[in-house]
Amino acid sequence: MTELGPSAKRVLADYGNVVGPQHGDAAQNWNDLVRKIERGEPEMQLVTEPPSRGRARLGVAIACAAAAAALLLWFGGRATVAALAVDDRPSAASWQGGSLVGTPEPAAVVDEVVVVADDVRPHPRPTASAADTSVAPIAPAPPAPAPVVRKPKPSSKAAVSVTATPEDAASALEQVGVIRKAYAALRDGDGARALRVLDGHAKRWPTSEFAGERDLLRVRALCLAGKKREAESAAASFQRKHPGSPLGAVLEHCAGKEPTP
Amino acid sequence: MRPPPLGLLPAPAPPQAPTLDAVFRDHHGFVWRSLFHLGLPRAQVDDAVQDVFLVVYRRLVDYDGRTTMRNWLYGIARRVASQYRRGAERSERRLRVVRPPEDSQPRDATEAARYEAADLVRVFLGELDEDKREVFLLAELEGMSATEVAETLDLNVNTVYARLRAARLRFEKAVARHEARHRREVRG
Repeated sequence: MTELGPSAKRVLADYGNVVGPQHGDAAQNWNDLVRKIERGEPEMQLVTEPPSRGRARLGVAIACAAAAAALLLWFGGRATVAALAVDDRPSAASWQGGSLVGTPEPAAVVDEVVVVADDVRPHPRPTASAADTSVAPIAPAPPAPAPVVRKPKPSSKAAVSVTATPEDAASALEQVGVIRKAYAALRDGDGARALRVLDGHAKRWPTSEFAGERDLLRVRALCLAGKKREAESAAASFQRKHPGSPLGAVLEHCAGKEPTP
Repeated sequence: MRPPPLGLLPAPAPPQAPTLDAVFRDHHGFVWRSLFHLGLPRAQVDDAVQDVFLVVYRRLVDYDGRTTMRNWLYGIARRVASQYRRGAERSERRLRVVRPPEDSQPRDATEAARYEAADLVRVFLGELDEDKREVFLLAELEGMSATEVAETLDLNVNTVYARLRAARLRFEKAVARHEARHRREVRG
C-alpha cells in the first residue's frame, strides 16, 4: 500500500507535536487519579457499544439460520417419532429412569441440608435402542426413590473438604463487617480508629483471606494517622507480600513518596 | 557445548503483571490523544483520562496480555468517551474534533507554521468519516500496524487497509492543496 509522502508525514508530525497532553498534565492527572482511588471513587459504569451495521446484519442472518434449523429439527423430529410410534408425551414426566417423575414434589424442610454426592447422583438416562423404540407406549415406570438427604458423617473427609461449614460463612461475614468498619473509619478520616479496628482483626484472624485488604488498609490508616515511617514500612511489606500488585503505586504515594508517572 | 539436561534448566520467570504506575507512565499520552480524537473537548479530556485509568486500576488484575496494552486501553477509552458524549449530537462531536486547543498561541514563525499544519490536520479529521478517522489516527499518528488496528477496532484487516488507503489519499490531496495555497501566498 502507498505510504504517505514526506510533506504529509511532516504535517502529521507537526500535528502530533501540537495535539497532546501539555507539560505537567501527566503529573496532575496522576495525582488526581491517586486521590480518586484513595477516596474509593467508583469506576465509571461502561456500557457496551452497539454493534456496527455490518455486525448487526450478520447477527440477524445467524438468528434466521438458527430459527430455520430449529424448525427443521422440530418437524423432522416429530416425523421420526411418528414413524417409530414412540409415545411423545410432554417431557414433564419423561425422565423415567432417574428421580424426576411428573410434577416435582416440594422438598421437605430439614434443619441442615448437606448434599451427599453419592445419594443424588442422577442415574444414567436410559438410551433407547432400535428395538426399544418399536415398543409403544412406554410403560409407566415405578415411582423413583426420593433424593436422600443426610447429615454428613463426622469422619468423612470428602464432606469436610467440599462443604463450607456454617462457622466459616459466619466468620467471613463477621470479617467483612470488621473490614467495612475500617473503611468507614478511613472515610471519616479517623486513622487511629481504623488502626484499632484492623489490629482487632489481625489479633482475631491472623491468617485470614482478608489479610491483603487488611494490609492495604493499614498503610492508608497509618498515613492518615500521620505515622509516615510506619506507613512506609507497611507499604514495603505489602509490596513484598503482593509483588506486582497495581496497588503498589498508590501505597508509595500514600507513604509519602513522590509518584513517578 | 552441550545444553544442560532439561531438568536442570531454570524455570522461566512468571510474567510480571503490569503495575498501574507503569501503565500510566507508558500510555498516558496515548490515552490522552485517543480521548481527544474520540471527540472529547480538551476541557474534559483530563477527567476522562483519569476515568480510564480508574477503570484500569480496578481491572488490571483481569488483563491477561492476550491483546496489547494499547488495544486494551483503547477499548476502555472508547467506552469512556462514549459515556462522556452520550446525549451529544453527532454534528457537535464533529465540531469538537476540529476545534483548536484553547491555549494554542504560537510564539514564533516556526511554531506558527506548525500550528497552521496542525489546523490543516484538524480540519481534515473533522471532515473525515468517523470510521476512517479512527483507522487513520491509530495507524499514522500512533504507529499501529494494520493488524493491530484491526484487532483494536475489531475489524477485518482488509477493511482497515481499505479505509487507510482512502484516508491517506484524501490527506495527501489536502496537504497538496494546502501547499499550493501557501506557495501562491508567498509569491503574491
